Amino acid sequence: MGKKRDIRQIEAVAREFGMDPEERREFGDYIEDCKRLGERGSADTGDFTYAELCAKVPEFRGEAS
Amino acid sequence: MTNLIDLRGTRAAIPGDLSGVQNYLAQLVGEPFRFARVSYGDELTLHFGDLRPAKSPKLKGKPYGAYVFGARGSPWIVKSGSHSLVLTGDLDGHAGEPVRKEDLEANALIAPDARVLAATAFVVKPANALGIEVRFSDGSTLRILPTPTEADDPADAALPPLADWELASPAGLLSAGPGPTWSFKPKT
Repeated sequence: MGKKRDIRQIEAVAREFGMDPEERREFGDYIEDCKRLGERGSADTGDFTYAELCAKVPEFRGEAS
Repeated sequence: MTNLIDLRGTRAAIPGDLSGVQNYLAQLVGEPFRFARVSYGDELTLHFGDLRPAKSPKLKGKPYGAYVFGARGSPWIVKSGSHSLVLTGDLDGHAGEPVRKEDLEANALIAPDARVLAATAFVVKPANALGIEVRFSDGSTLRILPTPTEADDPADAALPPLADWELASPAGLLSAGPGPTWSFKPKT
């Protein structure tokens, strides 16, 4: 169930930020890259919470200051 | 007989129309397999066709196929032309040895440039869902075998439903499931 929750959270973030399927796919890959580089979210499993995923959208889009 | 398939229109939540979904899968036939990538949530993705660079500035150097097949959260099995099997633990958790994501991506279970010979959707009756089989010219096959939809945890109730598999293409996004339905949204 956890894996499906992760993917559904990406889907929800994509809808909230108006991503098309290509950008949504790239966003999921970016979050996976973050995990592989050692970043951890605050969920019990070390995954990112929905709020943490939302906070990553600006940096993913190159909008973060 | 020669047939024309029009991929321009939106098709919303078509239940059990296997011939309809086959029309949209036909665009994958003949495309060369490029590589596999594991995305967030351990989702297996397969990339086909011409490669393009990522659009995000954070993914410089990461290629994307013109066609991207995503297993979403569904169990899958690849039967390699080199006589090895790789499958998700959901299918048989006691079979074989664990495979790291990096090894899955680095080892060509499907030969690079192998062509798609057929992509066929089928009904998985126990799950009341649509599975898919993709056959490759190197003898490999990929099968997606959706499992019955589980009840949501209360915390997940607000999340959108998840397709059982999807195919992003230059024409648009084909999504199968949940359940025996499929839809197609053309690229805008």
